[in-house]
Amino acid sequence: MRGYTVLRLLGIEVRRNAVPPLLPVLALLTWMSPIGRHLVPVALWPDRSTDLQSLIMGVGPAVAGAAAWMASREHRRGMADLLASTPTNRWVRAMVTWGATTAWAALFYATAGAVVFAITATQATWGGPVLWPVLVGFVALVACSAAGFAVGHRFPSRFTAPLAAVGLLLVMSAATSAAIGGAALGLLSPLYPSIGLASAVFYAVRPDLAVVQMVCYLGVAWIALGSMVPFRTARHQLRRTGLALVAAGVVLAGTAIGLVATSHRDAQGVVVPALHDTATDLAIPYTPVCSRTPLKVCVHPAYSRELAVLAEMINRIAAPLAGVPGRPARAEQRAGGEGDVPFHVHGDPAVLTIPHFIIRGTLAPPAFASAVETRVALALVAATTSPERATGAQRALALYLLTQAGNAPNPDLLPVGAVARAAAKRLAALDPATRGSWLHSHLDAVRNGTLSVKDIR
Amino acid sequence: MVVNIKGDEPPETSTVVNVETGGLTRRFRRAHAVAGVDLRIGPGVFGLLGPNGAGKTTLLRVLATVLPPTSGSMRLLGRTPADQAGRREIRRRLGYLPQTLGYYANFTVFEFVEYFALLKEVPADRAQKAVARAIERVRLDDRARAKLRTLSGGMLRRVGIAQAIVNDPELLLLDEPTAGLDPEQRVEFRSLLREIGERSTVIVSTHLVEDIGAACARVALMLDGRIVFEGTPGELTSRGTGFEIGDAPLERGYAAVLAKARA
Repeated sequence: MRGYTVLRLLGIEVRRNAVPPLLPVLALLTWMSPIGRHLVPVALWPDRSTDLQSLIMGVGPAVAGAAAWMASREHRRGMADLLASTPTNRWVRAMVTWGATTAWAALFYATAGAVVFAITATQATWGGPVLWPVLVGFVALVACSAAGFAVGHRFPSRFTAPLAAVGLLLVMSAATSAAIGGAALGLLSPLYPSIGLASAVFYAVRPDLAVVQMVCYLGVAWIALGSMVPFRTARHQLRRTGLALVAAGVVLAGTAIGLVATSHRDAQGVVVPALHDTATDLAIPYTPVCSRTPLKVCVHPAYSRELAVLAEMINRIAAPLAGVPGRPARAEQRAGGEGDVPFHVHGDPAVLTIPHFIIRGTLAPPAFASAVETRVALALVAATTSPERATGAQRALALYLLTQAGNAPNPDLLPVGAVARAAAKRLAALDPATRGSWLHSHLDAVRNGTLSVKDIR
Repeated sequence: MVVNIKGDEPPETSTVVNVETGGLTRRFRRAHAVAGVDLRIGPGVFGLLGPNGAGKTTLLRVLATVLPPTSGSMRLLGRTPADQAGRREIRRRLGYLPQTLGYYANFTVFEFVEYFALLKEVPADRAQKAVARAIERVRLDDRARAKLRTLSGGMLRRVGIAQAIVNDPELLLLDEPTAGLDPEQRVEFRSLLREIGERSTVIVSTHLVEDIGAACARVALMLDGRIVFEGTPGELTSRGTGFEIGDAPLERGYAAVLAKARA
């Protein structure tokens, strides 16, 4: 079949495809995905790029369902006999239909990506688009389309499309759960972020997992497309093409499985030894931006838009501790998630460390008040940020700091009993000079956990 | 070579045999839908009559290379469909209208016919003209941009005919083509059949004997997968002489042959 003929057929299939009527649904799924929640500052390019990959959670199954619907069209519409009487073989017809379906899906994805990147460009203060997760999402989408089409081709029925969509969602979700549980194979789920976010903006992008994921999805796509060749009746050349596709797909998918099985995780993400470039382990040099507040707050320039809010919040909470020994003179942002780098005060002179990851997710009110403020208050008065391990006196003092700053503590992060609540009230009732004096002489004891809540005057 | 010269009709002489089958059978499990059919058909309109379940549709599906025969030989347009290259060449020169026309409801008439023109490998630069001509021949040019879901049953049948003739087939297989057409459309359709039959082989399966009488140069009657009569419509009519079942002479001939075959 000549190229121009294929283009004409493709034109018809594009015009009469099942995806365009689905576009509003895809847009809704996009809005319901993490992108819909994250299109507010802080705008970090790695996060936004990963959000685009996460689009696959809703869009992937929908596209797979649409592809299965298109693949089963000949059978559902009673066209099999008529089409079988034409010289164009079924596989070529299928490829044209699949191509049109995938083209629509790709167009939607590209449009969503362009919109998200355009919005991010107006919000972000540092860096540029990270393409690896976007590419992973794109290849995963192609694989979803191919897999759905192959299923619809093999089992042509009106029920195949919804079953393919639901089945794919379940498989991806199960794989992601397995990855979170520590299973290496689960990392191949397209829902698992292909780059490490905990150290994003602070370290170079590590593409190890992204490469393995793409290799895997390409393999899946090739197997799906090759398996649609009618091996019993096809011409020799087409049979060879089908076999080559399936074989290459198996090799690619097998390679991806082999590579991911050797992987391990660290604070910067997933390391695949065979693909790993140590240059991606290096920190990216940056000049922090700092506030001019009494307690100086310094953040990565990617967070510069949040600096004023963050500095005001930390200073308000820490205000009663002014002049108290052990009170941090400075707050600094560090790479790493909260599990790796929790809010804590350390060093001499003391520095309050702020993990960047928690801020990314929680700066928007009201989560800001309920999460970050409570953690800051607890970090100022306790050596631990684990609320379960905080003493009654530490909880009482943290409660006081939050209350005087005009905030309510998050009961999940800072459970406070009646005794601690009463102690916080006693502190608040003191005149400022007496309270300052008491804090001056007792803060260390509170931090060390040697002071009982009943000893708070 | 003289093809199927029987009776007292003017002989059709042709050296071309577009359909040639020998002992053709098609079995579905134990049922013989086609049970040893021998045909030699040249250009012209060939009618295929028979009661429901006689095997007409199965025979057309085999001739359309949709179903492989269980046994027997078959040559179509001088090629055997047993091998890939032959089958592809036959299909390129074939037009087929199945008994039940499936269609993509959201396609327009033009798109649907163009889709088949392209699948039949009509060169893309000629496809548009071929599609327009095919649509015009079935008198649907004023509905060319209409979606198929908006068409009546008769119009859909004409769309089916348009896709079958869009590649100017040398072998045209039509299964119940006039079902759903009104009388005026049937008359026009018969005229179209005769026109196509001047240079191509047209095989029409139908229950309507008046279509056979008006459009076909030759006719075969099938019963239980076998050809029980083959000849001209005039010969079939003559078989009904003295037979009382049937309103028209051709119907009486049809009924008489069936009755004799069943006996």
